[in-house]
Amino acid sequence: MVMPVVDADPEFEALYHRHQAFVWRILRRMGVPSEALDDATQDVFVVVHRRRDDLHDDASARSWLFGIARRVASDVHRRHRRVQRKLDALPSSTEGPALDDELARTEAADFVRRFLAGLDEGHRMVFALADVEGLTAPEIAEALELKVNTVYSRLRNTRRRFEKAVARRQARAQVNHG
Amino acid sequence: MAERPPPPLSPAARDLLRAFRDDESPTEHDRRRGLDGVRARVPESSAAANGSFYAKVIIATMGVAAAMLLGVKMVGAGVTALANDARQPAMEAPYQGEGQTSGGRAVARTPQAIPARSSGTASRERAAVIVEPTTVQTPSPPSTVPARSRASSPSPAPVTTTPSAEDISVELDLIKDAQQAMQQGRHAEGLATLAEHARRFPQGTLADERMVLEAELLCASGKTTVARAKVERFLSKRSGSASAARMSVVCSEHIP
Repeated sequence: MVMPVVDADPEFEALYHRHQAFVWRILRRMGVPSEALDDATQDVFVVVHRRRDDLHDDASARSWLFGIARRVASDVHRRHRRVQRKLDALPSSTEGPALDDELARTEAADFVRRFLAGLDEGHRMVFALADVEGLTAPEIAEALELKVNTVYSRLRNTRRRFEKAVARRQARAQVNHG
Repeated sequence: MAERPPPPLSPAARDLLRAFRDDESPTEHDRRRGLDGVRARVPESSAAANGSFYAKVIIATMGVAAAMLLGVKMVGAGVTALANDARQPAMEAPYQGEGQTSGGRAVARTPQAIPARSSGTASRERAAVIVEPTTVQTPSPPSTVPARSRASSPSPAPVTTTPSAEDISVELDLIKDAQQAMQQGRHAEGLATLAEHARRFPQGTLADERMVLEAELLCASGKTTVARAKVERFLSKRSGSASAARMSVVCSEHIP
């Protein structure tokens, strides 16, 4: 297949490189399955390319991207249910190791993953956007359509729980190592 | 009353979150492949226009083929029915159109038994249930031998295995779905659809089209090594195929 040739668009490519990892991780947090992450991330940036004139300020890019990612994730969930049976029939790739093999999970990452799994959706997303992605409270409020005070409240509560979990983990490590 | 920002996390907590973030992030390979994918999909106007043109040509061609096959079957069945009616109407009437066996030999369904074609997965599932096994025995040509005699004859009549109109319809739906998935950049879904086609119709009417699409999808999704291997295998084994020219340019820009 001959790929359509696209004029170089340095501004768009810069936006892509700045935010692709953010979009990828957010889609993952929204429950997009590993095998669909690649396509879903592309979907987001295809929409971004089409609507890039709507973005006037890079400072608000992440909450804007979050909104697009949320809609794409919703589409993926719908489609995924429909094609799950087809995916099961897909022969395994002969090229390279599977995604999960490439991404060796560290013990620390597993710990955080387990912690996030124990949170309700509202607290999990606020915590992930603030302390994993580094969004500010106003950005999170805009992305999740919450009041800033609600963001602060959820963040305070979740950070406290996380610190307790970290302290327990450290205590266990000290016991295990004598 | 405005709430104050919460206190920051401890260094230990931040370290754990950093490790988590790294573990969750895409690799450089993911990033490059993603950008290639986005580049291939925008501007979508020209790509979609080209894609839809080819899709229309294929669909129109296959539609005509399906209609012709259906027509042939209907005429054939009609001639058989008329001939048999003229000979022994009371004997032939019961199994016309029911796909029953006569003397241990299958009698093909008449067109009345063929469900109306509709698009979508559900209809495909229905059609798949009805048409399996994928090869349907076609009615033998009108013979001067009466039906009763044929039924008791020990020598089997020659049986051909041409695809039914339903088969082609299902094949066409699957190929169409895969093409749409490719145009919309849903490569994994497109490949899954083609895998389903390969499972149901390994030697189907659209097998060559499936192979070309599979190579195109693999190439578009960045699996160029696998795509090139498929292209070479196809061209070595099916050089006379009508799809060979199209296949020969798949992923050609990636040849080292």
